[in-house]
This record gives sequence, C-alpha cells and structure tokens, in this order.
Amino acid sequence: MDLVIALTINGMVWGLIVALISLGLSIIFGLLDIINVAHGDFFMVGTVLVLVIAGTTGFWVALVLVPLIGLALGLVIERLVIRPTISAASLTIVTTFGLSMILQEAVRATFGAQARRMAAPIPGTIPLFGLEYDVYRLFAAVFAMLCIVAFFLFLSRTRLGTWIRAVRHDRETATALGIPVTRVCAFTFGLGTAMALLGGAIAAPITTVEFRTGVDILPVSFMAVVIGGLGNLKGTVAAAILLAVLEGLVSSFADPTLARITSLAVMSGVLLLKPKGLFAGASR
Amino acid sequence: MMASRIKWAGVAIIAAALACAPLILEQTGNLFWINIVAEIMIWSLLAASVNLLLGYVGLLSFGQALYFGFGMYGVAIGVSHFGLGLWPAFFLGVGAASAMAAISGAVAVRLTWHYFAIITVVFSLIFYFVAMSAKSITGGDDGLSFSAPALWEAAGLSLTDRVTQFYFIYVIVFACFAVFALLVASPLGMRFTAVRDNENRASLIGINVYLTRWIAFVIAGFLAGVGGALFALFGRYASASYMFYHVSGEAVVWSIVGGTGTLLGPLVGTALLILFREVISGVWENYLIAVGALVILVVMFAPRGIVGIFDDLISRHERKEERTESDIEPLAQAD
Amino acid sequence: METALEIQGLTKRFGGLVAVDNIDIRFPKGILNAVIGPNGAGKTTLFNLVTGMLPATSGHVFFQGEDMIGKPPHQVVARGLSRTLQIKSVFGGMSVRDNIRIAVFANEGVSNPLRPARGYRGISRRVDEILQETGLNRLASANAGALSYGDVALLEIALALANRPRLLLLDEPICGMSPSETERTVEHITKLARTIDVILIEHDMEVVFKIADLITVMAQGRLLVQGTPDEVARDDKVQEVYLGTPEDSE
Repeated sequence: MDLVIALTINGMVWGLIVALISLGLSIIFGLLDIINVAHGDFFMVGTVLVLVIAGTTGFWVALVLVPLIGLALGLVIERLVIRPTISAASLTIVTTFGLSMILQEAVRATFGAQARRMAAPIPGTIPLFGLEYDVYRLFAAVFAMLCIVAFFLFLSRTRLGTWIRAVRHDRETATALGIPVTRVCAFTFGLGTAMALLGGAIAAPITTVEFRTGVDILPVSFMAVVIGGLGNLKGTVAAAILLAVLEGLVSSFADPTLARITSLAVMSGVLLLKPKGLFAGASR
Repeated sequence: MMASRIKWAGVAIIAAALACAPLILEQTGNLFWINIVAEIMIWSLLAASVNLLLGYVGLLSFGQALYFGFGMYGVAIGVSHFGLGLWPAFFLGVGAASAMAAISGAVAVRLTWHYFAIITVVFSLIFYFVAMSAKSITGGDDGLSFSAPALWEAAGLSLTDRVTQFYFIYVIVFACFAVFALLVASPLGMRFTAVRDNENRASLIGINVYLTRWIAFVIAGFLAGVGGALFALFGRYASASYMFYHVSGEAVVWSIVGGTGTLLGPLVGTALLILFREVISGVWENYLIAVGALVILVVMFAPRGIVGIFDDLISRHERKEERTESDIEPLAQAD
Repeated sequence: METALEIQGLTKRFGGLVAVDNIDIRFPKGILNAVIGPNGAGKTTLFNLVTGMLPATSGHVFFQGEDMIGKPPHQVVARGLSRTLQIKSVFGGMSVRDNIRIAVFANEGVSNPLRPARGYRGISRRVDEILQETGLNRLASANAGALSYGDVALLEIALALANRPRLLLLDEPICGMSPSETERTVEHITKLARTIDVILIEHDMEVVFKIADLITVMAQGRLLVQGTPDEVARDDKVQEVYLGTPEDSE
C-alpha cells in the first residue's frame, strides 16, 4: 500500500513535469503545425544545462537561467531552421528530426556520453503517509504546478498571450486584426522550447542526466498532447498527470514496459475513436 | 522522348554499376565495401517503402521500421525457433510484415496528415516495446543471433560466400525496384497519384480513396519486410533496436535526400547517407552533427532531393526544346 | 414524367444551424433543370448531400430507384451520378489528358498494377473522344494546374463525363468566366443536356432563364418554388427573395 502511494505521488511529480513539457509541445503544434521531434531533446538540454550551470552558480540561479536560455535558443532555431522550411509542410518533421540528431550529438560531444546524477538541491526527506519522501520531489511538483498556472495566466491575462490564443484559433482573422502573426509564432516556438528546458531543469535532480533522455520523454509528451486533445491545453495537463500516475501504478505490479505499451494502446484508441482527445468538449 | 531515354539510361547505368561492384571491389581488395554496398541495397528497400507512401500517395509514415522488424524477426525466429530453411524463413518474414501492414494499415489509413504520422510511430513503438520485453523470444535489445539456415548451398554456390550473398541480395532488390517501376506506371500507380494530388476529386471520379491508400500501405509494408528479411538472413542477427522510431526517421531522411516520388531516389539517398556515415565517421567522431545539418540543408534548399532535381532539370530542358520546336507552328496556323 | 432525381425529407443540421430543412424536390428526366437561390440557400450543400460528400442528418435521395444517402462519394459516382465542384478543382500535377485518363480508368474499374497505363488502347480512345467532345484536345498535354479558369471548368465537366453519367450535377459552371468562355461553356452544357440529365446551380440569371426548362428556387434551406422560367419570373415569393432585379453575371 505504501508503495502504491509512493508510486502515485511519483507519478504526480512526473506528470506535472511532463505536463509542462507537453504544453510547450502543444502550442508549437497548434500554432506552427509542426511535429517537433526535437522537443524531447530540448528537455534533455535543460537537464544538462542546469547541471553544468549549477556547478558555477548553484541550482537556484541555474533554474532561472535555463528557461531564459531556452527561450533564446528557441527563437534562434525558429528563425534559422524552422521558418525557412515551414512551407514544405510535411517536411518540417524531417527538419526537427535533423535538429534532434544535432542536439543529441552536440551534447554527447561536449558533455560526454557518461550519464551523471545531480545531487538534490533540497536534501532530506519528510515523513509522508508513513513513508520518507524526498523534499525535493515535492518541491518539484509544486514548482511545476506554479509554472503551469503561470503559463495559463500568461495566456489569458497578457496581450501576447491573447495574441497567441487568437492565432491558434484562427490565423487569417488574426492577421486581418493586425496581429503580427509571424512574430507571435516565433515567440511561441521560443516559449515552447523554454518550457521544455524548464521541465528538464526541474527534473534534473530526480533523473539521470545524459544525451539520450530526450528519446524517452518524447513519446510521453506526445501521448499527453494527443490524449488530452490537440489544442486542448487543460486536457493535455490532465492527460499528462493521468498517464504518469497510471504508468506508475502499473509499474508497481507489472513490467514498466507493459505500462508503456498500455499507454500507447490508449493513445491509439483515442486517435482513432476520439481524435479530438478524451476531453473534447471541455473548455480550451 | 529524350527525357525518358535519359532516365532509363541512368537506371541502366546504376544497375550495371551495382552488378559489377563486387567484382571490381574484389580485385582492389576492398572486401569490406562489398558488404557496405549490400547493406545499402537492403536499407534502400526501407527507404523505398517510405517513398511509396510519401512520394506517390502523399502519406508520411514515421513507422516503417515496424515492418522491417517483422521481416527481420520472421526470419530470425523462423530459423532459430522453428528450424526453417532459407526460403521458408524468408517467406515467413515477408508474409508476417505484409500481414501486419494489412492489419495496421486498415486502421492507420483512416487518418491523414499529422495524425497518420503519429499513429504510425505509435504502432511501431508498441511493437518495439513488445519486442524489448519478450526477451526470451526476441532477444530484446541485445538481439538474437542464429546460425545459417539450411539450404544455404544451392547449385554449388554457397550463400555464406560474400559475393554470392551480394548477388542474391542484388537480384531480389532489383526485382523489387522493377516491380515498383511497373507499379508506378500502371493504372494503379495513376490512382495513387490522383489520391495524393486531390483526394476530393479522386473520390468524385469514383476512386475509393481509403482502399487505394490501404493497398499502398500493404505494398510498402511488403517492401520493408523484404528488407528486414534480407537483413536478418545476411547478418544472421535480429534486434529490437532496429524497430525504434529513429530507424524509421532515418529511412524518411534517405527517401527525401534521394528524392521522394522518384524511382531511384531511395537508393541514391540511402547510398549517399550510408557512405557519408562510413566516410565521415572515420574522420570525425561526432559525424551525426554533420548528418543532422545535411538533413536540414536538404529540406531548406533541395526538398526535391537529388534524383528529383535531376528529373526537374531534364523536364525543363525538354520543355525548352518543345517550345523552340512549336515556335514554328503558329505562323502556319494563323487563326 | 420520369424522375432523374427525387429528394425526400432531406435535412442537414450543423449543430444548431439547419442548412437544408426537410426538403422534397422532384427533378424530372429529359430536361435541363436549374437550381437557383440567394447565397446561403443551401444549394451546394444539397449537391454535397446528394453525392455523399456530406452525411445527411435525415432523409432520402432516390436515383435510379436507389437511395444514395449513406453511400460514400465513390459509390454514388459509380452508380452514374457525377458532379462538378463550385470551387473548381482538378489534378493540378497531371496533364489534362492524364486527368481524363485516370477518370476513365476509374470508371472502367481498371487497376492492374503491372501493366503500363499508356498501353491501354480502348482507354486512350475514350480519352481522345472526351477531349474532342469538350474541345480540350488542343490542351491535352498541358499541365492542369496551369490552365485558365474557364479551361479548368471544362476539364471538370470532362472528368464528370468520363464517368458515363446518367445525371450530371453542375455547380456554378460559369462562375468567374469571361463572356466568351461563358458562351462556349453554355453551348457545351446545352449540347450535353440533350443526352444526359443535367441539374445546374447558377447565379447568372440571364443564362439560367435562357437555357433551363425547369427552375427550382431554394431559400434558407427550403424549396420555395418550382416552375418554368416564366412562372418563376412572375412569382411574388421569388421576387421578394431576390429583392427585385436578377444579378448580372459575376
């Protein structure tokens, strides 16, 4: 029973982090119509950067710096790589695939192929439900949740956020209204990237840091986006948490691979039967 | 027609060059390269499988490695668990791949565009994980090695000989490309093009779009399956890692670099990138960065791919000739 | 009189919006039928429902004694009911000849994967016939994507003919054409109507009143009036709906 609770909480922690990443993926998909295969690698870059920068400035400063670097990185990539290839619609997935290769290899070249672990920035445990639970994990969950809330506030309360929603809803009308669509899209890519890197920064102390972690997280983020419903941001958050908790629970009594297969099967089901996502009809 | 004569000449040259390759390589003592060329031919079938779907029917599949995997495991399991001979194992692999394509295709081609790409990845991931966890049967990530199946010796030629292997692969790959060429020029091929060009219009002239896409999907699965079966037969090894979406992605890259919608594009693209890898990896350890950059540059500057550009040049030249010829006409036909 | 097409109780609802409201219409055989009505009357929606391009909320459409509702477009087409589209759309990547060729292949049910498409003599002959009939033979090798709007409309008609239709639905065939193109197309249509049943949606009142034998007027998803051009011109309800003078061609 204790194990189940622990796994559920673990699931929630990861679910919130994945939700953050998936939201980034969703807005990129929603506005630029790109399947960003490199999104998982952006997460990975976040984990690596926070480890490296924390060596000099400490974790907390790094945690603030990394998403800013992510924003800049995203803007640069959008301008150099995405925008010139966006007209070849189905080929953008190939562009991001090339990007993924470059990111993974660049990290491998500079950071090395050896996996590293990062010490928890907040050491110690707290007694929770009869178990000793890592304080940092709890912090990670809370922090991720705050970031997600901040994201939704940004979307609904700021002018830029409103512009993003407008472009996602109806690009042509947005242009007619005088919204600088190209710049909004560029910023969206930067924002999505920043969110992935931020997710990586938060996750670094509770996962292994190496050049391949992106490959694992990509399918999970996609699952959250699809099951939650493309364009349904709140659905994506719900789906991310549900999936992570579900996988956590299934792993407690079965092969973790089986858990993954189950999630994938659910995803296929959703794609075929309810392509608008499980939460279609819910608020956007 | 000049254009088609040039194109057929090109095909003939490549076919002849490949046929002579092992003999030349043997003479120059580059035996290693015989294997590389054989490998290129095998992988080009996976690229051809992507090409059929993307270039001719307009569907981007990011999961063809699944059918490659079925072909591969069909042979591996057939030989190591059931003691099958060469041909039965081969047909088991190809049959399994085609059957899988038929089943998953029935489901997948109901979707289009991004959703289709996503579900092809999802299917391939599901079976990747199944293969990884069923370690006892599939050997998981470490792979399954097996010894040469029976019926290796036929008509005095031993199929463990490098050169004989090469020609075996050559004949089968050549046959596949020949069938592909016939297919594309046939009424069914025109049907594919119509569906890709304008789905709505196609159904309005009586084409069953869903069925047409499904047929293409099964044929593509067949091609990938042949590749996988050949791979297992000649490496005598199968591993779940070849079913991962990264492999599918590479096949998409090979197809695009070579030129989607062309006959030899897949072969050219695969050859270029595998040779690139072999050559550059010797010089630069992080050659994948160069490969990634190359991919991006191709999409940016040459989305039609190498053979595609070649085709465009020929057509443009031909149209220029037609125009100069027809300049004479209007004078005689003043309306 | 025999019926070319019989529509019974056909309804199409998009959420709260009723685009086609429980219509009953009979289109008689052997004459040129026209459907007119202001924008939003549901004319194109009607065609979409009849050809299976849109699923109907309820109702029936009887063609040759069979209900077409519920059939996907390619099956409706196979029964001999062809249509052209309001927004003209052909296979832009192929030549005009290939466009027609693929339509003829589809009609003849040929899909041999191993024989070269160029080798079918009978098919090529039919393609040439259709090219002649529609006057597109001089453009046979031209790329369909490069054609003028008028020629694309003709190609659409050619594609519809390749299906050997018994009923041809033409959706605004002369929309956007120059006067000379209009004249040519109208000639083709009247010639066609002698051998095939034609139902035409048009906004150009001059043309409609000149060539149609029976006019069906729709408004707001319902049938308003059906009658000869004279009857329709004099009808009060029609005048009201159109607010006076008929529009000139666009």
